[in-house]
Amino acid sequence: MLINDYYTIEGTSTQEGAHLYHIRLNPECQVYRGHFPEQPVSPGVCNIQMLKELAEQTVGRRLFMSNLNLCRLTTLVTPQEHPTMTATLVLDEKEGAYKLRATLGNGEETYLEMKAELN
Amino acid sequence: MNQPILTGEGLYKLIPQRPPIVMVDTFYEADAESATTGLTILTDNIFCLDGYLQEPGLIEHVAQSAAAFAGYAPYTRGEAPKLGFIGEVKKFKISRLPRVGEHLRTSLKVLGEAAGVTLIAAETRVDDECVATCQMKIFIKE
Repeated sequence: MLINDYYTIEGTSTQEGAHLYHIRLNPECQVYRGHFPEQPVSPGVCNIQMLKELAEQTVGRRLFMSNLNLCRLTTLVTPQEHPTMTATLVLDEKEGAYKLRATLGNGEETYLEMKAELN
Repeated sequence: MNQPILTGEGLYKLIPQRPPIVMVDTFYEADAESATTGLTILTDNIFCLDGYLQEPGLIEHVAQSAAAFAGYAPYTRGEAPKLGFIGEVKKFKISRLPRVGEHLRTSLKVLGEAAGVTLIAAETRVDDECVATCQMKIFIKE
């Protein structure tokens, strides 16, 4: 993984074609030293990277994100207030390329949703 | 070419991010609606893997370029930078991942501003080659 202590996977499951990963954020991760000093906020790009890595784990190989079509970050995530969350991924494969739809959230609350093209 | 406005740790006057997640090292120029920033990719960049800056590094570079632009007007008034957050990333198209040692140069343009949200379009180049383009909405926390 890119930042190898940003999160841990506590469980996985599948549901109606979606891949679910239960995630715990690590509040001690080094990124919080700079994002932001004395006010830790989970960087949106780290959550995007986490979803990309979970997509890689799902398909079993490294992927390149050629297009992040859309990513909405609707909640300010902090490792203190949002220590655990569920990532939900739907991957559609066509000729070796993937379309990813993914959300990050907890119960009814969505923190982030994204659509991307990966190959 | 004119001297950049700020370089290295000078950027800390424009953005609230600090190491290890600082993804801009040059603030070349700015006017009311546009700015140009830069980043040389070093081996210890936390978003580098196998000698390449990965996708989140590129996205964060653009986000911090926008944050630096947002921080420039307060800086000229002697004020501290405000916290900015990415609200939305749209059509972030990456033609290739930049390599360690390459210098990114990003031009951004404000497309609109309303109620603390700034919509920008950005293009990132390595020399004359465009490596990424995107649109982004940034929220500035007052």
